[in-house]
Amino acid sequence: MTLWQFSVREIKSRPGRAALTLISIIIGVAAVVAVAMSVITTRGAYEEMYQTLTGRAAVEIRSEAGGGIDDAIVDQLAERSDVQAVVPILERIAIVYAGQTEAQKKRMKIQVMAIDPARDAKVRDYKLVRGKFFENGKGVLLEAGFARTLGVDLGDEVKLLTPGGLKKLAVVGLLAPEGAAAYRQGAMFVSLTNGQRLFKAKNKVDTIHLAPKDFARSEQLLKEVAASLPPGLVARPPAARSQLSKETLESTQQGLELASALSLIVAIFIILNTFLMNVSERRRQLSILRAIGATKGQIKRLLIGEGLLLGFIGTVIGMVVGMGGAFYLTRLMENLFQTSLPSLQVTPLPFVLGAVLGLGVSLLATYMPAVWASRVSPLEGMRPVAHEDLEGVSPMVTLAGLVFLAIAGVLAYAFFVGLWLRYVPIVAAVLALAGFVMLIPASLGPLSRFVTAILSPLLKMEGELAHRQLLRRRIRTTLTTGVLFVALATGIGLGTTIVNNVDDVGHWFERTVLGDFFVRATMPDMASGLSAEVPDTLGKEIMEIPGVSSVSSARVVSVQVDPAPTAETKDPVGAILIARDFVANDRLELDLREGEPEKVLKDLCAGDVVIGTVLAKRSGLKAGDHINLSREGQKQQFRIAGTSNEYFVGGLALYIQRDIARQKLGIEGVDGYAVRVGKNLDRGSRFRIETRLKEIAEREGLLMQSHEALRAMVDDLVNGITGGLWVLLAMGFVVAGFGIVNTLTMNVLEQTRELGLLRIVAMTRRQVRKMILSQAAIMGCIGLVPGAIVGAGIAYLVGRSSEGEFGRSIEFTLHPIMFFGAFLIAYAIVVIAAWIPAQRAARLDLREALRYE
Amino acid sequence: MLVLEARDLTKIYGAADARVEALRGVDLQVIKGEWVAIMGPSGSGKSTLLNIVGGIEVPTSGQILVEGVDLASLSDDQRTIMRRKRLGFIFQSFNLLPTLTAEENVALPMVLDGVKPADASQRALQKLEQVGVAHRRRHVPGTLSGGEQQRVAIARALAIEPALLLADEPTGNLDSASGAQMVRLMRELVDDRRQTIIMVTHDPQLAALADRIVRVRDGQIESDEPAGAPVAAGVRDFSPAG
Ligand SMILES: Nc1ncnc2c1ncn2[C@@H]1O[C@H](COP(=O)(O)OP(=O)(O)OP(=O)(O)O)[C@@H](O)[C@H]1O
Ligand SMILES: [Mg+2]
Repeated sequence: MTLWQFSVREIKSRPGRAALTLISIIIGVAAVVAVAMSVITTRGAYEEMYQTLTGRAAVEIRSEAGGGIDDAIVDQLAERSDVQAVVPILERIAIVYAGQTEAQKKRMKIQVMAIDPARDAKVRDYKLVRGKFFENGKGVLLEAGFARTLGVDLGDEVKLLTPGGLKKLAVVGLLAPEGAAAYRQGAMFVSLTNGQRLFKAKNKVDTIHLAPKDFARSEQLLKEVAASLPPGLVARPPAARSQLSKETLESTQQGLELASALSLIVAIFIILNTFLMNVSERRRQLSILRAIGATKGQIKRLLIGEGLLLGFIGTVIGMVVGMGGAFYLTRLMENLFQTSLPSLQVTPLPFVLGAVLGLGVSLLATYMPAVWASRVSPLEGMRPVAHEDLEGVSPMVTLAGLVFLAIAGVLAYAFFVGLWLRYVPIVAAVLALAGFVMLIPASLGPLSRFVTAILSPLLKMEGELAHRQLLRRRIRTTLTTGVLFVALATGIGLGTTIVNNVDDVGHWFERTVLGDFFVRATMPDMASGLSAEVPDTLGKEIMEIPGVSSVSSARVVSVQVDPAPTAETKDPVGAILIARDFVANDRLELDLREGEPEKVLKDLCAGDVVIGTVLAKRSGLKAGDHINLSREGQKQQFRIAGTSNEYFVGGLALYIQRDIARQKLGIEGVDGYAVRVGKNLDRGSRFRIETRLKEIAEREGLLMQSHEALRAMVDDLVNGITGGLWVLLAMGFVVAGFGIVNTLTMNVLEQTRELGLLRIVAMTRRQVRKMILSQAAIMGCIGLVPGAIVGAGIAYLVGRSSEGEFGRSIEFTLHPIMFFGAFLIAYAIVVIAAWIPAQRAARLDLREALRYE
Repeated sequence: MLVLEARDLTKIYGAADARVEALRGVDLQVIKGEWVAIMGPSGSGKSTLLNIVGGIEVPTSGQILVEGVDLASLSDDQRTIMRRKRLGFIFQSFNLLPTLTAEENVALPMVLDGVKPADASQRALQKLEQVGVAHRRRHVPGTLSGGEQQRVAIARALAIEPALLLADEPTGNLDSASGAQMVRLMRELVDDRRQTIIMVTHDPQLAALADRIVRVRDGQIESDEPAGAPVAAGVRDFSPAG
């Protein structure tokens, strides 16, 4: 036998405790790995998309407002002697219909890339698997895997919904999933000339990439080209884009980061707790080891070895679980942003983070108890009755707790006076939690006394005994109440935040998305805000359906907003302009944050705009200011009538009256229609309208959704995210529940002898059981009541913290059902968890109990 | 040859009101192969003395020489190594590690000392044979009787071939038959192997089996005389070696 084997034996002898420690490590590591990995994958997807897209290009030319560029400039640029290639691209979103038989039919939103085959091949790699690189400029190319998804093969036909209606195109080539075809698997390539014809963008392109002959002279080239461009066009290094998409990802990622930070705290705390408990349970054994000749160093190494062993196993399992979690999260994001992300990117970083966390926390959590254990006196082993915790409350712990609370307070204050650092609230919350826990040992006596007194009508004499027993095991009681406190505080904190956010989305939806039915080509891309166009003659046809009271159309385009001088950024902010029919004297269909609804509506009709709060924050503008919008070379100034809560494109959106947009910015076309029916329509006519709209949609290859269906869809998306958060939360609670079972079981084991004596002297089984349950009830009150209160505080802080990012706070409401519900559930878990050890104590074999070991 | 020499040992616990003078100037000498029984009323300082001799506690003042080494002047680690190599303990509450088998419990001090696991378990088996519980070597303490547990504890104490075997009421938790068996075992050790033993006991019959009885009262040695009172003679007959 070796000491190492001894460790393993010790771990095995308490499978429950080992499992608890493992689960805590697994949860912590898995949360970190999953979040880091999915964040890297989504970020990476955007970056990779960008890089493969830009290839060897060093300069990118776009129109300042995101509109088109006249392609005459392409030849002009090609004449430059220092340019190796000039690559024009037209990119549009469209709907593709594929599949031959009814069963195979597929309908999908895709990105159509119109490229110039001759010019593009000089900059980017396209590897053909089969077929040709276009046939006289005709046909489409698809990445081979994507073609399989669509159920089409070389030579098949696909239909594309374009502004000119449905167009048939033949698949002429299949591309290897490498190079340019890899950046986005759901893309379709057509030749530039063909694309310009299909999308009615004659002589237009969206982007021009320049590849220099000498890469070292890129900067020079950029400067010269920028100077030579006609007004309205900008030249920049290729990486300066896609900020818009990134920002919409940001808020989701923030939510995940917050959730994993909180679940991490719970995990760390439980890991620390189990290791500390491990030592306090084994004091006697450790003292025997000391008595028969184990040095302090040997004891320390023994315990640290055990911790690292568990830490290692937990970390490995956690990484695997984390990868699964990352897979789930990226699928969620795909749904949310209606895009296809590349398969999970397995980079070392998430694993390094996970390992640092898993092993680091285990090491840290073992080191303290190990040092503590090495100080166990060999004398303790000599005593026949288990040693009592001699450690009084170290004033250092209380002092440190107060210092932590003070720092948390200062941070919270700094935060409220305007230090909008992203992690400030989280750090403050963590410090506050730790601080409170550190105050428990010092206040345990009076708190337990107080709670026992209050519960005494219920607990009677058993309560008094329970109180004594809890104080005898001060350290363990502190750890258990600490876990309860942290679990409920983070639970209520995170839960309230989730519910408030979901409410906020719901509120926004009900205010902003009005209409009984919607007819459109696609769900607008939540990230870019763009969707495929819809034939603009449909409005009239829909209006003619009997019972329809109004049809309003909307058009969504991208624009650039000049920032105010006070804004953080100097560059124009990319945003989405939503041109909608606002009708005077009607209800304003926006979730306003600034401004009176009637007044804002009047102003909108008169030519003002309403901007999303995130846009307001980014551009440094507010209601009453003037805003400069540029699009396709035109710049126009508008007054801001108000600001609104906005979830579309992450809040970087603004609203304008449709006619005004047409007059001042030349915005034509329709992305979708919102149809309203008469107020007092019976169900039959409503159903007839729905059927008719469905028919129209079918014929045109469009999407028709009712208000309810759309709401359900948005709810689904939201639920997908919050579902993940709830799962994390639930796991925290489960682990905390195990923690209680563990503590109380240990308590019972340790009290075996005393319980046996009590039973012999007079106590009935019922009374013994009640005494153990009373211990749980008292600990529950001490840990959970402050936990609930602090949790509400955390939720408030987190809600306020969104102000920094989104320019508005999520309305903070303490949901009584959620608040008291979580409290009661947690309390129930505590008492139920106590049932097992209580039962065990009640069934104690008296003869066994009186044996020493 | 002197195995143990204690010079003017004092031990004071607590301070002010809670001050207890557990030992007040104890001098004691034990030679190799001698079996000393310590007796005295409860609270007189017997356990304190034994713990100090065993290097588990340090005296407030005085010297405590085991084979010429002053335990009081050693660092904690040095004292631990001294315990590990030269001192064997038997406790009233056997104090075996519940997760280890009998054999492993016996091997543990050697393993702690860096003896190769295979050698350690071979020596452990020898010791278990010596105390007559070799057939129980794969059992964990929970499945052993009290007498068997105590014999495993003796084997553990003997495994390192200690200069001094210390036992604090070793029969306190045993029935009289097991107790007698245990004491017979100790007698054998002394007679056959010249093992030096210091044993605390309340039982005059057991004490009579020792070579010498030291009586402690109020932290001081009251009397120190050879065993051999008339009662003891009868008990001595139990011993086959006798
Ligand atoms: N850790 C301690 N702190 C304070 N006082 C102690 C401590 N250990 C022992 N004492 C006191 O020292 C005195 C001697 O104790 P000791 O355990 O040596 O007695 P003993 O002779 O072994 O008694 P018993 O026969 O009951 O075991 C007692 O008064 C006891 O209360
Ligand atoms: Mg004693």
